[in-house]
Amino acid sequence: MGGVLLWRGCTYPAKLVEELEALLRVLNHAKVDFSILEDEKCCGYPLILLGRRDLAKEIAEENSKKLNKYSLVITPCPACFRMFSQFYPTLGAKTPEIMHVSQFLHKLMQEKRIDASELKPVKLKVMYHDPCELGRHMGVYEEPRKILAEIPGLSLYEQRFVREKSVCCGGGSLLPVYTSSLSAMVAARKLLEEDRIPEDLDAIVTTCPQCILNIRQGIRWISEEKPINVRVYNLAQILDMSLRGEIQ
Amino acid sequence: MSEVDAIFEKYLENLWDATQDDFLRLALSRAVESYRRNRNNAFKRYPYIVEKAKQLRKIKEYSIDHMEELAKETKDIVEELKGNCIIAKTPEDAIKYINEVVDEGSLVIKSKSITSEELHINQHLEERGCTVYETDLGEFIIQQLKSRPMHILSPAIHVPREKVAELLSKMLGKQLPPDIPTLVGEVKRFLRQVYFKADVGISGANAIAAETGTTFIIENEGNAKLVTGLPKKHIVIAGLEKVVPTLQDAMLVVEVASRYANYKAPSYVNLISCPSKTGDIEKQVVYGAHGPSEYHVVLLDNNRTKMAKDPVYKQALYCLRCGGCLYECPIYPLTAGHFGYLYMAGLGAILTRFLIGGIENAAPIAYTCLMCGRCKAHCPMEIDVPEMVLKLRQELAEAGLTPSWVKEGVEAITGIKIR
Ligand code: SF4
Repeated sequence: MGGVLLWRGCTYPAKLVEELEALLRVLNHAKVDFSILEDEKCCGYPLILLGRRDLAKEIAEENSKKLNKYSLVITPCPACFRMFSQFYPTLGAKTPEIMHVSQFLHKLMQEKRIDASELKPVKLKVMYHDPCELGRHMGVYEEPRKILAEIPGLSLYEQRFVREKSVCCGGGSLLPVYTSSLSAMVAARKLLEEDRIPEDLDAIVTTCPQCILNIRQGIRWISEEKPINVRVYNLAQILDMSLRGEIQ
Repeated sequence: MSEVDAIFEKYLENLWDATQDDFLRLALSRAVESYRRNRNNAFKRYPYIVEKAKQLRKIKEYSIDHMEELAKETKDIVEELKGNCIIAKTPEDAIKYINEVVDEGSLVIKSKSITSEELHINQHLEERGCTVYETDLGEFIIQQLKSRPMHILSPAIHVPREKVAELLSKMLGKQLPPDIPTLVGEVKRFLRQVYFKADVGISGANAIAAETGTTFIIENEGNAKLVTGLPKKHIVIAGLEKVVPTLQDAMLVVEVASRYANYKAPSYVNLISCPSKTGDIEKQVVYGAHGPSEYHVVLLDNNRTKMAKDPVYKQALYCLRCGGCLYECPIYPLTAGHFGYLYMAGLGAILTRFLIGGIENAAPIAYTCLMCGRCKAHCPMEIDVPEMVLKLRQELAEAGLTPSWVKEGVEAITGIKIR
């Protein structure tokens, strides 16, 4: 069949609707012809984390049939991205080409389907957080940074530990399900002690739904003692703001 | 609550308490920053250490693939040089051997050895009427407090000076101020009397060179020099994975482990190959000159050969115990050793599973590990902890050792009923 499939992942439609809508707007703006599966199911990654490869394999086989109807699958979720790219082959499930959305958006910019001249200033001071699944586990560090570098008006705060040394937000590996308070504390410590976010930081930008949710938990945790006003965006939201010329 | 859930609940309660201990938090965040500062300085001074770590990884790979042969080679040469060596399959075998060497009622001094904890050696010796003193300052404090180590290199990382002063005041029967140099001096004075009376010294090993049977011990305090040098008998307790082929290889372990443990150079590296001896009178060799007259090497298997045969878990045997991964872990600085059993954090989950504690004690640690891979990015041996923890979680799921609420959580996320 061919064509592009946007695989949304479980978290965006369930918990991050605004963030997902921003991505859809950007894709539509670039006139990307893409499909969405109404009956999209879990990619199976949480089962891998649980230790149930057997169940993950069943899902992988089922999903593989759907994915293979397309020539390219893009996803905003690094866990799905890793699951399809790294684990599906070991589970005997074939897939077409898989891209993380940040890679795809970067490609759109290179191909000038999103042109730099269309971008309006986004006057924010932001920090980019490398999600573990996307960075250390999948080696994608450059594309998100290159996209951010194109946004006029944006100022970037570079924290102490980035790329392969970046500090995990605490939202992965089912820890929030096992003990949510520890997850939030990990995020709080990361922001304050490891990243040492400055007082004038407006926002943290990242490329993973789990990171968005958990960093927000961390900010809440910090704010219980001393309120801080930092927003957390996904990368596509920044691009969306820049295309629309308004800060959300 | 199910029995399985109870294991996790108890562990998590303890973990939570640790996170609420403000002093522990402060001590750990200071330790993390000072570790980083020192390590960066050491790396700046010796930038080629990264290259050396890569070389060492190859040597460790070879050594683990030839672990049993190298142990045999060690045993042969140690015995040829008039020492004794046993390859102990189980902790019980090791204890049996040690019981033969250590007489009842002996005074035993120890320098740091985590491996010896796999034997619960102190408890066994005390049951036989022996008096045992840990001589590493941190270990000494922990032993006297009847607490547990909270870091593999700095076991007393969680104990503030005030608490040490209180402890020593009680022990020594005099009022001591919470002044660190004073406290160190008091422990030194106390242990000095013990060293000269001790019958047996027990140490660990950072590496053992198979070609000469030489034990390498890295230390800063100077206690290991005394423990291995003064008593009549010296027993080394080391895991099989500590053996590398040559003296040069063992020296490379020393270099890499110390730099990654944040030292430019440790104060001492002790090398011991056989009992002390002299041939100064008529060239007739007499064993037992100034140093110990007996050198016993206990090479402990305790599931290590099993780990070595597993393509994933065998990486855990490359660990040099530099402790770096703990400082760089996103969780450890919030919880210290409570995120662990005897061995800590993600790697600790694997070692707990195989070496001490077993699968039930490994389970709650394995579910705490974020599998973020930050430890791997800092590890001199590039040990892939996430890969190992993932494998362990599979074993846990098979053994039914998953907290019910995590299972339910995954059901809710995936919409799949978990059988
Ligand atoms: S796993 Fe690596 S970083 Fe951690 S203690 Fe062992 S050698 Fe050091």
